Amino acid sequence: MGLFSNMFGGGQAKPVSFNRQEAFMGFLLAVIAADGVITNEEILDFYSATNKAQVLQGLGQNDFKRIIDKLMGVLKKQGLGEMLTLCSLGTTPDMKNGVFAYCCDLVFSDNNVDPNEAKVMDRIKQLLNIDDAFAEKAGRIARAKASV
Amino acid sequence: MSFMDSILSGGGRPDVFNRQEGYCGMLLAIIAADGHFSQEEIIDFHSAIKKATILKGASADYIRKMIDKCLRTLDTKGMDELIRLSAEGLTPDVYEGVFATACDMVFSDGSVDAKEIAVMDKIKAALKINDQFARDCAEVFKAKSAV
Repeated sequence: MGLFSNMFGGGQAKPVSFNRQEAFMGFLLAVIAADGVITNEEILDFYSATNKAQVLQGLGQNDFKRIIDKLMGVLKKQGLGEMLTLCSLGTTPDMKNGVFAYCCDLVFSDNNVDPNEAKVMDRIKQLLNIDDAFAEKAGRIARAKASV
Repeated sequence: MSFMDSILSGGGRPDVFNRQEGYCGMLLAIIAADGHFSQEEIIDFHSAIKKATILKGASADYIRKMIDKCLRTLDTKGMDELIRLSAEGLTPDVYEGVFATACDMVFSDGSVDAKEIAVMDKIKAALKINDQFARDCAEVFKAKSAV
């Protein structure tokens, strides 16, 4: 390792892991980022979800900003696929169905499901081991909500 | 009042709700059910109103008047009448979506009050929601509230 690598730890990326809070927000950001467009409706749903979720209760503005920065860093450097894998590792079994349902809401929030969003949802379903019956219910309900 | 507002306003008749007022009325009914407006419910209400396709193009003034009309109905005629007028204003194509949004709101503060359950039962009956869809909604929103 060269001088600067030794000094700054460059060259070898530090292994990253996500806790439950980071994993939840990471999934939401992944869905929002999937089609490369961030709509007003998605922002409203993201804000609503992060305000409501028990797992994020008590989180201060600085914590929130730190998590977003960490997630955006992973998304930029390691890509969407790796971010989804890390999110799934940070998600506990008791929150899997709920996280998936939140993601469904976000996918349908602008009433338009892009093929890239559909692919990301398929990957999230697979990583979280969501059974077909629950996925179908969550998708149908999110679609019904978006039809109003 | 703008052209869009006049189209959307249901003619301003106090005893008739249009689709927009029907949607707003159902959401306000569920928020008001337990006599307490939580922060989560207000955020959800704001998000639902801002996002709704049936409210696209509605001005802030129109939305304020719509909320006033629904709350006045609740104050003067009561919950049952608010739900009845709201259901009459809605069209069948949005029944399930309105029910699902109301159901999501019930779970939004993480607790479901007995009064909220009673109001949800009335909304379910007024919108002719089948038992399976209602059960599916409860399962999905319960899962969300566990996050």
